[in-house]
Amino acid sequence: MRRVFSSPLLWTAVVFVILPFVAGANPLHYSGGFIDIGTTMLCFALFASGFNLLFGHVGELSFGHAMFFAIAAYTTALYTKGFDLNLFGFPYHHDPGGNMLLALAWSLGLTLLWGWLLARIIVPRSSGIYYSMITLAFAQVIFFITYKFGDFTGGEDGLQGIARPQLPGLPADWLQSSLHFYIFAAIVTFLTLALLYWIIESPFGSVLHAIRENKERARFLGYDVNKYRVNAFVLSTLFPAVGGWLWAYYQTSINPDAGSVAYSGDVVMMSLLGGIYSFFGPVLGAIIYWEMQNGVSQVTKFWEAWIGIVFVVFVLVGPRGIMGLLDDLRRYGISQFVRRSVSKDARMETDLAEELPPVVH
Amino acid sequence: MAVAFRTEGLTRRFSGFTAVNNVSIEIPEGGVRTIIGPNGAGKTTFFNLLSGRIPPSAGRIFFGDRDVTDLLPYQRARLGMARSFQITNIFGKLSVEENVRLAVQAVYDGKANFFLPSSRMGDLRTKTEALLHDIGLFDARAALAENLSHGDQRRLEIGLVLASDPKVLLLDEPLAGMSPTETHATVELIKRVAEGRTVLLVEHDIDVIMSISRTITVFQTGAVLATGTPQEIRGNEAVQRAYLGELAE
Repeated sequence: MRRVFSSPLLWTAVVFVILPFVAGANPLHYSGGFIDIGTTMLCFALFASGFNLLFGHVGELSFGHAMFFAIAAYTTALYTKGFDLNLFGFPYHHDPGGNMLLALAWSLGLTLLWGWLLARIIVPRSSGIYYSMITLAFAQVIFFITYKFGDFTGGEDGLQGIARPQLPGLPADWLQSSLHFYIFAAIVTFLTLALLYWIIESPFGSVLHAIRENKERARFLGYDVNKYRVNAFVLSTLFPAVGGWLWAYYQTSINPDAGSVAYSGDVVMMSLLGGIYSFFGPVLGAIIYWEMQNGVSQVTKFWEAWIGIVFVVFVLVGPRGIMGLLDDLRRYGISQFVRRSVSKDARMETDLAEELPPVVH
Repeated sequence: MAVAFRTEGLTRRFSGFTAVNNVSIEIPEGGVRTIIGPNGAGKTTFFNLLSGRIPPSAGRIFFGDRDVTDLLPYQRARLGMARSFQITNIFGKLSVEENVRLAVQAVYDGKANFFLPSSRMGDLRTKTEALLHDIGLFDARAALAENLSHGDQRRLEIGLVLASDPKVLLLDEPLAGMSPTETHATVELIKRVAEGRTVLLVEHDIDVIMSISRTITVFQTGAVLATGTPQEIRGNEAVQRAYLGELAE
C-alpha cells in the first residue's frame, strides 16, 4: 500500500486542490463572465490518462478514444433524461433516471463492451498506422450515430437539460454550484486515477512496458502479447468513460463534439505535452492545454495556432514532455540541463552515464 | 535416451530459395549440440523454425513427444524452450534489473494475478537477484540495458533466456563480437547452464566449438551434411572439404 500512496498520487491530489485557484480553472469566476474549466480539466485528465495507457505504456496510438468518452456521456444523458426508442419495430421506453451510480454502471458497461469488441477485432489484426486508422474509423461510426440518429441522440444539437444528480446526505441542489461540482469531480477523478496508477505499477504494467520496448522479446519470453494488448485496450476505455460520465453531468448538455476527431486528437496533444512515459503527464497536459486555450483565446482568436506552435516546440525540444524535462532537471541539475538543451554532445555524454530508466512519474 | 527435439522433413522456402531442405534430425536431451556450417547453410533459419519465429513450408517439429509445429512462439516458450538472437534482442530502454525481472515474471503468466504487487509472486525478487549475480550483472542492474557494453548485453540476453529455467536453450551466435575475456566468461556460463539442460548452439569459433560441444551437426545448403562428436567431425572428409578446409586456408 505504501507504494500506492507515494508521490505521483500525492502530487495529483495537491494539484487538484490548487487547481480552483488557477485563473481559468476557478469555479468562482463563473458568475464573473468566465466559464470555469476546472472540471473540464478533470474530465480530460481522465480521458487523456486512459488514452495514454495505450499510447505511452503499450506504445500504440489509438486515434479514436473520443468514442468511449462519447458513449459514456450519451449513455448518461439518455439514462438521466429518459428516451423512447423504436428499434426495428420494437418500441422501448425508458423513464428519466436520477441514480448516478446506475448511470455510471450503464456507461461503463456499454463502453467496456464496445471496447472489448473493438479490441478483439483490432488488436490481433493491426499495429502501427493501421491500428490508428482503424480506431479512427470506428470512432467515426460512433460520431455519425450521434450526429445522424437525431430522434434518439438529438443530432447536431445534442441533448440538453441533463439533471445533475443528488448526493446522499446533501441538499438536492448542492451539485448545482460549480465549485461543489468541481469538488465532487476532483474526488471521483482522483480515485479513478489511483486505479490507473495501480494498474501501471503492477506486474501487468511492467509487461505493457516490455511490449512497448520489444514485442518480439516479450513473445519469446513466453508472454501472450496479444492478450495483454487486448486487456490494455479494454482497460484504457474505462477512464474516458468515467470522464464522459462526469462531463455529461457537468455540462448538463451533450453534443456530437464529444466523440469528434478533434477530441481524439486533443488527448494526443495533451499526453505529449505532459509526457507520455509518466503517470502524471497526461493529467498535467490536460490542465495546461485547457489553461492555454482559456488564456490565449482571450487575447487572440488564433489561439489554436499558438497552441499548435507550443506543441511543435515540445515535440522537437522535449519528446518526453514537461514531466521528462522536469525529470532531466532533477537528474542533471540546472547547469547540465541547460548544456544538454543546447548541445547535442553534452546530451550524448550524459545519456551514456544515464543510470535510471526513462519512465518517470 | 529421451529426445529433446525431433524434426521430420522440415523445409523452409523463401520465394524460390530453399533455406532449409527436408531436414529430419533428432536431438537427444542433455549437453551442448552445436550447429555449424558455412554462411547461408540455413542454421539461423533452422533456429527460427524450431522457436516458431517463422512457420515451416513443410514438415513437422516435435518438442519431446509433442508436435509443436503449429504453436506460437510464446506457447513454445511456456513448454520450456528459450532462445537468444543473432542480433541482440533485449529491452534496451528498460533497466537491467527490469529486463531480468520481466523474464522471471513470465513464468507466472496465467498463473498469478498480475494486478497484485509483484511481492505476491513468491520468490520473484530472490530469483531475479540470483540470476543477476549468475550473469555477473548485479552491479550494473540499475543501468539501462542499451547502455551496457556489447558483451554485457549478450550476457544479459543469455540471462533472459535462462530466467524461465527452460529445458532447451537455443543460442544463436552468443559469442559474436565479444572480446577474448568476454568470450571466456560467456563460454564458462554456457558450460555451467548446459548441466542438466539441452543447449543448441550456432557458433563460428572453432576452438570454442571443439571444447564445448558434445555433438556437432554440420549444415550445408540447407541440409545436414554430418553429425558426430567433435573428433568425428574433425576427421570427416566431407566436412573438411565443405567447411573446415575453407577455414584452414
